[in-house]
Amino acid sequence: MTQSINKFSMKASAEPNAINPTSADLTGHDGTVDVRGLTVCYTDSRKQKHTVLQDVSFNVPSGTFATVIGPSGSGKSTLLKILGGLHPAEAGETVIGGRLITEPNPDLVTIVFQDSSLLPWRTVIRNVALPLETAGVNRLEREERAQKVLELVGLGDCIHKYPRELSGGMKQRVAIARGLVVEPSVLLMDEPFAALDEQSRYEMGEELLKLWDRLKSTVIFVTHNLSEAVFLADKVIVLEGRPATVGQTVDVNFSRPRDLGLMVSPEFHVVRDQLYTSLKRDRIRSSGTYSWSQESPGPNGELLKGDR
Amino acid sequence: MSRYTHSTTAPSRTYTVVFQIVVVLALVGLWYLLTTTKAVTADQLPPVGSTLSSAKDILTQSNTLHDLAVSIYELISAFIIATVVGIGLGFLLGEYGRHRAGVKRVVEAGLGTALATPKFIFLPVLVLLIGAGYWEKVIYGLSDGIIIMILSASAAAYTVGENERILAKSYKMSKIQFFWKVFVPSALLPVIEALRISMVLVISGVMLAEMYISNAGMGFLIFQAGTQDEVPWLIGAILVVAALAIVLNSAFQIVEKSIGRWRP
Repeated sequence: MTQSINKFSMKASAEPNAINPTSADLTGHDGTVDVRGLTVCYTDSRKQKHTVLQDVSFNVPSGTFATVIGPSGSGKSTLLKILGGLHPAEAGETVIGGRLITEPNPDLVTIVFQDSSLLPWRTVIRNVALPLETAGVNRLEREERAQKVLELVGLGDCIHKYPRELSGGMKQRVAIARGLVVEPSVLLMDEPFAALDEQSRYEMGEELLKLWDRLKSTVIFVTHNLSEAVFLADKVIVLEGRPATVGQTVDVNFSRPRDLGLMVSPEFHVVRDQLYTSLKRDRIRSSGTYSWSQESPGPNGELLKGDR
Repeated sequence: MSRYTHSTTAPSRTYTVVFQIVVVLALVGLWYLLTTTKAVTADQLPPVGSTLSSAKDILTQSNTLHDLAVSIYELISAFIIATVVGIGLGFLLGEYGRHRAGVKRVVEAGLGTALATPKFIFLPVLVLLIGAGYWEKVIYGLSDGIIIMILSASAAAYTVGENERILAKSYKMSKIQFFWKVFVPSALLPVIEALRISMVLVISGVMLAEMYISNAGMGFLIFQAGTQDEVPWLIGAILVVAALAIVLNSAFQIVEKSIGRWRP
């Protein structure tokens, strides 16, 4: 079974804009993400080369919800762009569902961007249907599929509205619907709730989990919010250092379905604090001067001394 | 409700239309008042009735209809060339400018200087160089309009966002798909606004060219009426040209409004 699905995947990748026409073809896709030794550099305006990611390797099994955390500028978004085939890597490779990623594969991997990136001149339904339209799916089918996925994200009654008529949270839901409409094996999310207030952010997270419980695509979710990372994930990938590499991966084994009540449990705080401490130590190592004082203790009141 | 409460809603379309009608009626009323009270002489401002009668003659007599037709042909030709060439060059400049900002700045500075220079002073040179026929009037007429189109289309192309480009790339859009599904809709509204301004400039250019290097057209008619002290014909012809400009301008505004429903 797996073999035949992979064959189909390989066939689809040979056709640049092929998005599988029916959900039946998509449900069996393998969404395993295998990242091996990725190194990414960029050249600045003075032609100097900087390494952003160094020898990054991790594996996300199919159907897993993984979050990626790390300090600002650690290359989280760059990593996502590479997984989405939008950015070339200097070294290493990304394999998703058995396919080597060297270019965007919208039938396999879709990206939800931080700022929703909705096209303001398109109505909600036409925004969601855009990937299908690009792939040449006929109008009737694409509208039907867009309508279905919009109902799934709770926007079934907003299909003819323009983005300007929606709140920030609703726009992100539309962006998520657009990411899901092609029923991808892997959904990449680049801080999609960063622009929302804290309450909306966690509520959206809860809704996202409900949605994911039904679809079971692999999700790789970039965030800088530790609570959000722990609440959502089966697996947290921590990027550390300069250039960044995978410092550790933390398995989060809380039962599902999860609700926001989880966030006040002691177990939740243990995992969160483990990540917090790890990132803090990394920061201290990077700067070489930082230390916590008694006035600003760590999450558990501990005092850490930086390397001097 | 607080007395400090105020509405920030834009005036409705009906309000705007009623206001425009009231302004026109007020101007006509003032005109009527000035002429009936003899505050101005008939040489300075002819009565409303005789002027409207002249305007009606222009629109019904075959020789003046010919002038109107000549002007409309020239306007259409100049406008089409300014639009097609201007948008094409503008889009190219905008896209090229994303990678070569310096070149874009230099070209735009040159075009800005050309736009700021009154073309009228070059009219005699133009006549000496290329003569005084239909196409010469068209070329003169489109000279300002095309610059506006290039500058506006370039700015519109330049502002097609990086996010939209990344989005298109992530869906693996072809260049043609990107052009029609992202680039054109994104640039459309500024381009339509520019078309409206370009149309006004083209009308002015063609009228001016007709006044000085032509023996036909509404510009020629206005010039002739002016030099022969035919004030009712002069004002009548001006009214016809003004009405044409207002109708075209309103048409563009309607299109702009209808296409721009998505705008905040």
